[in-house]
Amino acid sequence: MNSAPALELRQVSKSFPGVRALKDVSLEVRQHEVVGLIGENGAGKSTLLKILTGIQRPDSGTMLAQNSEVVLRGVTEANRRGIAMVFQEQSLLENITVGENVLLGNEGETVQHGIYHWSKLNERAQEYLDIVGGGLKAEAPTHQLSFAKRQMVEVAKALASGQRGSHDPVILLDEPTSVLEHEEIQTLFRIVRELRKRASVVFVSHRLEEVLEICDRVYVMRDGEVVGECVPSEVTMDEMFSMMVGREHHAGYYHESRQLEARPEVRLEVINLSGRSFHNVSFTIAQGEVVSLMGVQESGREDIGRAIFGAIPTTGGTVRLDGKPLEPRTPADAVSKGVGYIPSERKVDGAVLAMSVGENLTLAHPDRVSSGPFLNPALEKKTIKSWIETLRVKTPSAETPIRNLSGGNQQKVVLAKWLLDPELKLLILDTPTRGLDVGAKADVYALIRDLAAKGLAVLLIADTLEEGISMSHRVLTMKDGRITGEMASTPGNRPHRTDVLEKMV
Amino acid sequence: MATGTTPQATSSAPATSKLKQLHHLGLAPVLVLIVLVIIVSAYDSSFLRFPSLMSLLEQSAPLVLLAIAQGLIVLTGRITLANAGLASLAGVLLAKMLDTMGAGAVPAVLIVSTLLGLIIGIIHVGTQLPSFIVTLGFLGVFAGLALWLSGADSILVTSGYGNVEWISFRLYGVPISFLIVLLLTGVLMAVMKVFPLGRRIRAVGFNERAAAFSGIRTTRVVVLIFALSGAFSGLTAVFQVAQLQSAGATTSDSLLLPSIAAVIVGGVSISGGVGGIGRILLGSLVIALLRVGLDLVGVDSAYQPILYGLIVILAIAATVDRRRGTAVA
Repeated sequence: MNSAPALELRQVSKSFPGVRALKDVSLEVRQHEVVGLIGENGAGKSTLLKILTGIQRPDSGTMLAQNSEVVLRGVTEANRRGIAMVFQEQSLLENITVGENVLLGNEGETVQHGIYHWSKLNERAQEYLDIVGGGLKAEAPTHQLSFAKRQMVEVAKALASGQRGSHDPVILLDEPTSVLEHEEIQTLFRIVRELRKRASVVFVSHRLEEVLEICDRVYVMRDGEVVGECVPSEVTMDEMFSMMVGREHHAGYYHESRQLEARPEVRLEVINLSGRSFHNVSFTIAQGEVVSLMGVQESGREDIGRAIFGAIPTTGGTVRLDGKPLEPRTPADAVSKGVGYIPSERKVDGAVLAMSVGENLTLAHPDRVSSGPFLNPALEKKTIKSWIETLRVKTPSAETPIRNLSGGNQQKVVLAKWLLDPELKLLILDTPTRGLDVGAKADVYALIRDLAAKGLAVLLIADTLEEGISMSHRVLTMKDGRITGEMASTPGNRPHRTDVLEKMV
Repeated sequence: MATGTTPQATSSAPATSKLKQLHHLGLAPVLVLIVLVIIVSAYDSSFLRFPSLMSLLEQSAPLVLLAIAQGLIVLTGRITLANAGLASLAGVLLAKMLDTMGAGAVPAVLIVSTLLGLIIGIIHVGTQLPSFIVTLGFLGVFAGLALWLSGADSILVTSGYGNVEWISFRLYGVPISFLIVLLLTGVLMAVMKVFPLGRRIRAVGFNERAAAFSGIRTTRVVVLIFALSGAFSGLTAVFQVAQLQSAGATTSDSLLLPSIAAVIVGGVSISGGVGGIGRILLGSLVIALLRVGLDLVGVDSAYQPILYGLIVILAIAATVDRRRGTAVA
């Protein structure tokens, strides 16, 4: 690599009130290189990205593009320097065409005197779409695209915005895989490899395997500092893991040694349950058993969880809990019968972000902190305190709004909300570790093991294959709304990924 | 000097202005109230005397009640445009019934108002139409019914007036009407604090889906609040009939905008969740004081809605983008 780095940071620091977000960060992105940026939540990845795109400015330190110092005052200026970002939350407008989205804010000569030159616009947009592949058409309406396709359009858009510089662009991908299914991730990787021919790529993720697979070089961040730089072929996952979390990655990430045998008593019976997106689904979960429901995104697995919780209607079948009919008409029905549910969208459905940690904790079962019909403030305070301690929730106080907590700590509170009920029988977990960093995931896994050990039945809709296989006693595979397979899963005798995958697709 | 005594806010972002902190603590309306008192009393020093203060409280009583009818619904993240119309209709009903039914007319009208609120709530929840639309429709329904029942004429209460007249009496110079209002707000504040209902309402206001996923019967909470709002609209009518000894088809209509203004000025977030009964009371006092001030300055009451309209827009504009913090009852 003789040419100058596409992008370089020297000794960049950034502080927010009370937090040192970045500390003397130095890194470089070379031409046509895929650079990984990995770290737990709160390690400083987002702040770094914001600085790279000019959304925030560093307190000190310099940034260089092609060896000349630059000061970015906003996204537009970053684009002019050839830096463009694919945001984690998608930013496409639904009511215009794919082509318009690709060139949005960057129409150039395709708009003259305020009038679109459609043929020119579509032609130019199509060039970028073809680079990305996937058979995307510039004329297509955006709202018809799937989530994964939209992300591809986002990449094309970033490519178009970054193309304005005199050099090959730098494309920043912020957690691009967090909501993609397995096959979609492979497609994304193919795109990244394609991009590499004409751009530099910064790939931000908290999933080790992915970073190791796709990146040429990886920077590991922890507590606002770059703690390591490595080449994937020369390190093991465990080495990187310990760099990330600052401690050893003990083999018991999933706490498999703590998997106890399920008890003989059947806790949940689902018989021929049908709904909008699933048909004739039957399975049981015993006391102390974790059953994971595996399937691709549209397989109907989320809906089964929601139906058992009473959040969506069913069209037939029966559900029994401890031999008694459950068939809840509303979530409130299910809750009163001892069911808890962790929705996949923690920030939208799981927690009331504006309310305090304590209020969120007692939201589902205020009766547990009441004397008769009256809230008992002393009892409430004591209960909240003890759960914060038991689950080691990191929060300044019980009165802190839950939005100020990290994702992992938020999820602990959402879980504790259900644990408040001593008569909790069944816990439905819809991707409970999505978006959590490695350390927080391990904590959630430990908690699931503890709950199962206490006799709870757990229905797990897993975020990844590994998680579903490693956490469960039994794996149920689903495809097109039907159960396609069932496999026992014990420590040392887990089903093979490929076997599970085969039944899913 | 006022800022010197501000308690240390638990602010994570020191950049927020002092005024913002005051707002988070729910104290901004107190400040506005004090400033207004100073201005009005500077304009007319007799204002600070006991009788004029008491007549302010007396005038503010119906507004407080109607603002509560509004504020409860705003807390759940909704709005009602029908509360004043319902109060007008209830007033007409009461005026007609007092002379024939006597004392029984008051509970009868309160029950009817509650049921009407309940119906609005059920329709809103059942059809899943925005509250704005449903209550806008009922605004028309109530206005039409009130006109029809009243024959488009003001109804004077005669023989039955004694049953409500006592509300307009004074106890040691203090208007009974305001004492009742204070009692009711106290009771409501206690209910919100002591029972889980208070935080359920706020949870619904902040995030209805998360509330439902936590097992809260959100539709039940919303319908209950609409019924309660109906009851408070009915009560507004009772107080107005007690003060005016008559009722017309549009008597309470002019209170719609002030009631919304009171809720917002008090620091209840228009998007729901933030706020409480105490804030609604404070906001109502601010608006009532403003009315007195405008009268003193000589602004014709016919023009005053211009100001209420602007206040609603300005107050929402000033507060709508703030971070939603933990609320004060």
